[in-house]
Amino acid sequence: MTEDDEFAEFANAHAERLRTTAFMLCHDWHLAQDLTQTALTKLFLSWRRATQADNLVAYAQKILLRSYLDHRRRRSSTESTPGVLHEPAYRESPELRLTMLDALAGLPARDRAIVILRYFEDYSVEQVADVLEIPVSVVKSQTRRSLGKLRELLAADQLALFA
Amino acid sequence: MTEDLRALLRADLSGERPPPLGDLVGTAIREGRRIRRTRRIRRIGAGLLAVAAAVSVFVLVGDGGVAGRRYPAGAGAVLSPSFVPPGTPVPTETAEARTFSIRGGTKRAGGSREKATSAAMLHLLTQLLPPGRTTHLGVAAEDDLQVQLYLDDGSGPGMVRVAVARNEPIADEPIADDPPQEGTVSVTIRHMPDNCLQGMVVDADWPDGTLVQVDVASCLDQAGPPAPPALTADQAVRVAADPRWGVTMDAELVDEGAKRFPTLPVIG
Repeated sequence: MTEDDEFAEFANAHAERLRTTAFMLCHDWHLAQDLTQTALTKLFLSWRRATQADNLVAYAQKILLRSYLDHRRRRSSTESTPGVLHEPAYRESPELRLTMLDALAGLPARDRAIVILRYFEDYSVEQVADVLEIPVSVVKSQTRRSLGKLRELLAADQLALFA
Repeated sequence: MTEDLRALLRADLSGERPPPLGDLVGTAIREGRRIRRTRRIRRIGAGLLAVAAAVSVFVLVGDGGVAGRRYPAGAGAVLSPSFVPPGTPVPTETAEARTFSIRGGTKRAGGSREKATSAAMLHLLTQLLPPGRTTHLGVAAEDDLQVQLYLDDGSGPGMVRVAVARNEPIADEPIADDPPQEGTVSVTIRHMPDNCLQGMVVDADWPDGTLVQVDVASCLDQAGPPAPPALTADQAVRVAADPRWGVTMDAELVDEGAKRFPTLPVIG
């Protein structure tokens, strides 16, 4: 099996998962598709080095997250501020209850990535710090802050989950 | 709490209707190969530039010209303009940068094939070029399938390079959004304003993994003045999309190339 075949096998097996992570980050399937393709292209170009990594999936996630954060940085000057939510509307109308994905969209990009890695991908604090290249202490403090923000945003019947 | 959060996220995701993944992996692989190939050719280009600079110094000190004395006999030959037959331009759009497919009429050549040689590539290239005077023929070192020449249609010499490589086709994966079809070549035209040696680059990707790259320079030396591009976009597409290119080529072309160019200068 050639290196390209090995890459194709890995990419086919994990593209869906990567795209789901990308979607949780950006809440836009088309952008998620683009980010995943960008990440896979970068992974293809660094495949030999990537295969030396202890956890190839984490390596791919790292590339994806950096692609996403790069994208955010490039667009930060033109994008509207995330997280502008109309709380009274969804709090008073159950059918308009905010979803977790909506609430995540209310977090700053890096904080969103922290929550997704910690609570969806089940990474340890240390792994999140490594992927995002930030200190462990920042991961911990931002996690607390992000959970507090999510608690504010989510409907009452979901708050128990954060108790 | 972790499980609860994860369950909430999963519940939200289950309500989503994601678009199909499509050929995401295949597209990433093709783009990766294109970037890899471009990097490789740029490395070769840097070598060519160094050689070109050395040749320029050599000429400036008055010790002979490029053709006839700098290279072995037969190298750097000046071909008769009449040798290069006029070609039929391929109908294309004229946008600045684009990718499109050419279907039909471009089936890969059949028949007896042999391992491609630089001489065969030059032989084929001179058949595909529009009329003009060709000089400074050269080949890349170490069996790299890359050739170079200058073409002068009367407005001054312009440099053209052609490189051929082949990657393995992507197993069990469609090559493009449409199912791959025999005889369909995907052509990409790019303009690179910051690199005059590759002012315009035309890539032709075949379903079997064959990649043909034609570089049309807008200078002869990155430190030198601008030079007229030797080919228009349509002419470059016609060269790149010719089905006779490959890491193997028609045996007759290989044979004729060997006879016509028994020795060639190594340019990089």
